Amino acid sequence: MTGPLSGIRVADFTRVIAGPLASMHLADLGADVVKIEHPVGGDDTRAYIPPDYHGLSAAFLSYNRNKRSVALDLTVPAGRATARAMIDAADVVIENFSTGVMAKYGLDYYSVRRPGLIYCSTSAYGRTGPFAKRLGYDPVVQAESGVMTLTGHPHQEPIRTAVPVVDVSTGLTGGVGVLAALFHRKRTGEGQFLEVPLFDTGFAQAAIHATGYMVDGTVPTRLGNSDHFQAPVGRYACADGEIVVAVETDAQFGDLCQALGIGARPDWRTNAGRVADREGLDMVMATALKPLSRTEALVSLQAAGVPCHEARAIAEAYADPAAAQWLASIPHEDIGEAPNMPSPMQLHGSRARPPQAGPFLGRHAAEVLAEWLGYSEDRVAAIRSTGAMGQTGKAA
Amino acid sequence: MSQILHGILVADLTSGVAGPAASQTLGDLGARVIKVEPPGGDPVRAWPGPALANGDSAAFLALNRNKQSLVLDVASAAGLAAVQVLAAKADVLVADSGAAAMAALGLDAASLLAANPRLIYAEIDPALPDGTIGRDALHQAASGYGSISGMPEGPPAKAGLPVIELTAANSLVQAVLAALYAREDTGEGQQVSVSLFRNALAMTYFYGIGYRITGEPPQRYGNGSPAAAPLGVFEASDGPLQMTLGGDRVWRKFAANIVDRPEWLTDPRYVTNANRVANKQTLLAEIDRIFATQSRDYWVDAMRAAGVPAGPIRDVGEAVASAEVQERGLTGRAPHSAAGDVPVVLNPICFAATPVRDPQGAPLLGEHTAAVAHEFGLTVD
Repeated sequence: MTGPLSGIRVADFTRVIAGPLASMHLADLGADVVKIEHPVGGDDTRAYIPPDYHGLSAAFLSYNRNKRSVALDLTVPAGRATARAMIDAADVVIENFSTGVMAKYGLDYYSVRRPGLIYCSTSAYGRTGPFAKRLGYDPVVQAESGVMTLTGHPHQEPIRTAVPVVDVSTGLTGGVGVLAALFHRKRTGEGQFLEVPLFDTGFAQAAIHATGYMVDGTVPTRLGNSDHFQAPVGRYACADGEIVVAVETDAQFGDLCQALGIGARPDWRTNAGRVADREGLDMVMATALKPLSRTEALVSLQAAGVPCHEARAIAEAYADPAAAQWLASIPHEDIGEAPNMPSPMQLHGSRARPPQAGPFLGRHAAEVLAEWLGYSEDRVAAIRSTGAMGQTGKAA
Repeated sequence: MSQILHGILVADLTSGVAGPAASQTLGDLGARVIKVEPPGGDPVRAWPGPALANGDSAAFLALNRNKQSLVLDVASAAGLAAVQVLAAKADVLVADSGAAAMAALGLDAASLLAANPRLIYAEIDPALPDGTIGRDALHQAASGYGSISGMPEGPPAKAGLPVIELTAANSLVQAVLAALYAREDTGEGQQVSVSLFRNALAMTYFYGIGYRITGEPPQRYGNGSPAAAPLGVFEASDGPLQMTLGGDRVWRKFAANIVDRPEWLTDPRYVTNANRVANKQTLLAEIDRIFATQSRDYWVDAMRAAGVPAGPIRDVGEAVASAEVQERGLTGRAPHSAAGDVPVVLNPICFAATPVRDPQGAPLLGEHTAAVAHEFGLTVD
């Protein structure tokens, strides 16, 4: 028994990023998550190569730790029947197909529901309503939801965040939804259907600005490395590199002025005054910091209690001992070990599950079908012979 | 209808973004959240920008619905004692000031769990790797996350939203729910935490793992990609749109049916993705000329009909007013003690059996101090 969700079976029909991130967090918490993947290629992220580690893509490894994989072709009757049997043996179903796909295979909530079942759809624009059929893509939702216009430099093109932040938010919100539903089931025995749409979650990420628009019509723009609500916040060049300063209080700003020898204008005493004159303040900050080395600037600001840090590229960040240890590789059953991006969740009172990197496609069919369904080797072989698990010699 | 966390009491000692976002979600799920504020209030109340007539900022409204406000000065003996009483009765305590600050007050996890073994002690750990305290922008800087978005020829751009804090909030809520789930069996609470720095590292995902595999630092690609064309941001006659053409099948639809350039199907500069990448400048210039002839909606509608991923790039106001937001009912109004009612962006999780709570607008500073103090026998002033 390792992890609070130990013993919870998750039939995981998700692919790409949002759904797999949700189910990976459930797996990190101890759930028995089985990916049900198409025998040809499996999860789309398996093909996001290069880079790959022994054939496993960086994207796949990012979102599929602690899962097992069963390959099933849902267009083949035996594949559908096996998937249905797995759903009937599962506590949780999670899927992020386009609207109608699970129904086409008779695997939608209406078709498979039973009192204790939790069924989570991370849809694109909802499973019902006028946009139900539209496909969901992170870059498109970043654009449509207003999120994208908040990133980038002033007077320049908006920039999509490189990490697909809408996908990631949706995955994390989906994890919240399933965990809440599990808690409810624990107390009442009642399962339910829940939905966490990509668009709705993307839009909710911008709530601090969308609420402002609804209050007084303010439309926020992008501010580069500055902040909408506090100043000075920014990335400043020193003589030998860049630092980020993020002042939170008026007192910190006073200390910053002393440390850097800045003569503050009276209207800069309040955060509102500084935000109103963000560009003027940034010019003064830039002038004060430019002649200093990064170390001089950081030592001086930190001694004054001003929040600051060197601005790092990935390589510098990963070389930090605090990062390097945490980012250690984890075991992989077939290739020894693989690079990992650990879960940020720490549960100090629950035994953590020993980590296992993302599986090769279809690696666990025999063991999962034996454990979950009691299927014998012969029965699994019979399913395999129908082509439901691929490998029949037919072209894909 | 009863919500999932009905009967769960949350003592929320947080301010800013991550902690309040986490406790707000617990409130949406039905928990009773008591927001403990210093006499000056959560600093977010005073953030500049859109605000109510009473001065509370819109950002504060967006992070603090479904909460009660209790003003306590933890620097005073009475205030600290009141927090300890709440912690002794709470199911969940949420903290975000860092382990050292909490320990200095005697509010560390070990002390509070000893007094209340059923407590879930949930913390956003704000420590940077050098031990100082930082919020979103500094964790983007320290983790390298803030270096990977932006144009290839220009400086990096940090994520404009506080994404490190917002995602940390979601992970903390997951940890709290898992701990509540475990408590049903064990009867025991526990300490759970999410470090902002580790979360920022985790948020680099495949960029970070890719770097670990290849040793080559990730490049910035702006809205494009070195591996595919055409994709990115384009200007229609009345505004920008985002388009992603991943493969040859979609490209053929685009050329033949959307921009009506059937000759491109056999143009050796454009036949394969590799050809298009090699001749990207010419191709993008041609597309710009074509897109300038029609509206954003015209092109987006045509691409959606053909299954080409594309969408208008909307500012936040356009997004609020959009058909998607309005028809899906993603915004609403919530009662508010000073303003009558206030706008809200609703929780995106849709539970069929146990919907999230109807929103109650963010509390006024100290709005519930007297009632909560009376109910729990706290000495406050």
